[in-house]
Amino acid sequence: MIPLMPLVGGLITFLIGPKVLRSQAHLPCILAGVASFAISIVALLEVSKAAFAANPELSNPASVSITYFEWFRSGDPNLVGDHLRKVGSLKAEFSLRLDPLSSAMAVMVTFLGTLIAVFATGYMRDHHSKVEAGYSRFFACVSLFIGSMLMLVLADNVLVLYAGWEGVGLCSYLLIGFWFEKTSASLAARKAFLVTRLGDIALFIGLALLWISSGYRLDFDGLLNLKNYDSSVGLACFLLFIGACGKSAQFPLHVWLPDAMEGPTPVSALIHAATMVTAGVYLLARFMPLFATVPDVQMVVVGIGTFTSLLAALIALTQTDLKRILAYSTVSQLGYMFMALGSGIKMESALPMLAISAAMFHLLTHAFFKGLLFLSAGSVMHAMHHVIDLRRIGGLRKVLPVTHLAFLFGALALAGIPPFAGFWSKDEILSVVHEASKSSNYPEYYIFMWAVGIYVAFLTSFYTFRAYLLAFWGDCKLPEEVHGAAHESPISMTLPLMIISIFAVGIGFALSNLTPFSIEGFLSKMPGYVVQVEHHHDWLTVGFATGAGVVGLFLAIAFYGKGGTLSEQTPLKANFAIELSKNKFFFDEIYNKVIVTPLNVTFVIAKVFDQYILDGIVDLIAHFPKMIAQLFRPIQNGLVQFYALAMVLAVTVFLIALARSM
Amino acid sequence: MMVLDLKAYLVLGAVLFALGMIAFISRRNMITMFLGAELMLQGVAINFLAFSRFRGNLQGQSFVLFILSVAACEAAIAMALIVILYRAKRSLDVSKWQDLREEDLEPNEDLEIMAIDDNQIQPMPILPVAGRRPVKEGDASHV
Repeated sequence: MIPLMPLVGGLITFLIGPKVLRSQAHLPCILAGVASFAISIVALLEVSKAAFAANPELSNPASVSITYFEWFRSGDPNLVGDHLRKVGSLKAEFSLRLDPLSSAMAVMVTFLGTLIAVFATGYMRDHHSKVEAGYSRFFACVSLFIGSMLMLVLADNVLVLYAGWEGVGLCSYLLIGFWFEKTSASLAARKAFLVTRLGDIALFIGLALLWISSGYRLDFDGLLNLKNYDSSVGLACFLLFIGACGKSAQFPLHVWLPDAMEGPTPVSALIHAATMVTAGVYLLARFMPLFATVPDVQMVVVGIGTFTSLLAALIALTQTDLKRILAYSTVSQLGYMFMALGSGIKMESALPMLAISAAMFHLLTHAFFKGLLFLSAGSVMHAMHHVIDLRRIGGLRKVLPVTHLAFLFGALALAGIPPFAGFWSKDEILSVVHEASKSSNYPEYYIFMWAVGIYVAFLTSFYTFRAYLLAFWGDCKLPEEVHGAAHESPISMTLPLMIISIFAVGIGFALSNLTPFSIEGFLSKMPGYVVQVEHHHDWLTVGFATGAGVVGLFLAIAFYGKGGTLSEQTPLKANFAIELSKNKFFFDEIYNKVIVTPLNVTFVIAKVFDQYILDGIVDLIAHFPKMIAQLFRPIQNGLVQFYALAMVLAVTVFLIALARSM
Repeated sequence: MMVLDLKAYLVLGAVLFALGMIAFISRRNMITMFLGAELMLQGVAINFLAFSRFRGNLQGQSFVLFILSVAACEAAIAMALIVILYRAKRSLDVSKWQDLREEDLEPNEDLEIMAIDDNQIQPMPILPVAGRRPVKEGDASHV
């Protein structure tokens, strides 16, 4: 029911949007969003009631899976059950699953998705409330996007999950390239699609491997049960991780996400906060029982996560585009989540549970504050006529008071300043990494990752406040496009901002271990995990991380607080490092040289081979009968008598032959 | 009375057939060609009759009845076609119709025929619809 609504909403918008609804095309999308949000809330309450009823006899109290219909099957249709598995036939059911993990995700997705859609009703209009071209297309895509994401998180078997996964990829392509008449937008869309596709291929192979090695099972209960495996799942887990890397923009495949800023800002918020990028994190959290058994892969996960977060934070330091800074901070925060997930080693310890809850906690808080930041950036963009270059705007706090406050809350949360949301979840992650160092075989490795994590916390707060101060403090600078008449965005944009602000401020504390709504307590009702009973707070980590955040904050104020001008003389002296960071460590250039150029050469060779060699052979063969036919062409002269004579002669010849043979 | 044997009838049929064939191949007038074709048909019909007579059954004769009726239909259609062709080119010469040759071949032209100027050919008389008074030369309108 939950994913169905937005999907249907999207379909309706597609069908009748352009003709009938026109400027009201957002209605089906928002109504469907609200409806499925309401249902997810009900579902969440049901699940938590079941979870906390705590009936130990039931092995699986808080997890319900519903099979709607048989999707497709191959092989002998009469085989069922275990026989089906033995001959390797495939029977795919369309089934959904409701458990703490998926219900928490569903509530987040529907809530943010709906608010972002409301925000977009304001954003996708110009200053005279006239809707943009493609307004209904936009909302149809958003609706489908939310629907696919819900299908992804609620899936009960890997095929439904994969369908949702691809749906999300497709919709992101459509939305990033929404302004397709802009070359950069369509290029960015293509890049996003192709890069995530690399991950998708790995994911698909990984899922297929799991399917085979688990004895042809597709449902999560069967797949996640280690007893079903006779061989190691290391390779499959690694492939799943690459898939997650693609969607969640981790190190080798992170290049698409900053370019995805070409789409409308609500789309950026949707992709970065609520949906697409969290899919990878969700995937790893879902498959944690498998990942926990392969510590080597987990070390790769934590390493990539840490490296990505460091890399992205360094790049974000020198960017001048407000949205790009936020994009890199998203990459960086996703790195944090992977760090947490990579710490889930040893299934028999409490670490996997801690890892999942830390990652999910950060995912949820990040969804709120990053959604908030993006929507406020969108509000800035809307007011500034699409100028968000930090060198051209400044001192906006008087012009856009509501947006300013919203951005401030988001920035504080992102920087991890207590008591805002990011503080709670970031500390949780770092504690998990610290904890993992105690039980890993390579404690130094995890300690090192922990230290880098704290350094990144410092960088995060520094670049966040650099952006904040440059945009909102200092002398009031407006770009020429505005003609000096900037004003606050309409209510449809500021209302979602205010709502999300409240959540961004409060959700961290609300879901932390100090309250009865703790996410850890909720998720720990998932079956098969060891739960840590008593909590001890890792004060060392908390102290370090918070200290790093505060230091970064003050450092940023010291550098950018007074003038708020982004001079070319950046405080850092090392010019080489700045150049490196400004150019995003030359990743795009390297990829161009290493991958795109050889491919282009291959294309040229293939084209020549096809046009001149293959086509030549085919044409030669075609010429042969043509040449033979040339010999007989003069006979066809159109004279009736000549034809008659030929006929008579031929018949005569045949008759003579017949007579001789008798 | 001299009794002719089978061979004589067959020879007659063969001669008719051969004459018809020669007429069809050597003549360019479409009507003559058609007559040649008819002649060939009748040569075959005589063959049928002769065999029918000497073998003593009636199958050949009934065949000939069919041949005759088919030939009559054929004559009607052929004559109609010839009239249409004549109207198009103002000539019964079959060599005026060489359009079915290969595109890049030159038409097989008879200089004598080509020498006739198309403009000198008299226009076809316009026949009035049956049951109407013929319109005289110089009258205002005709059908």
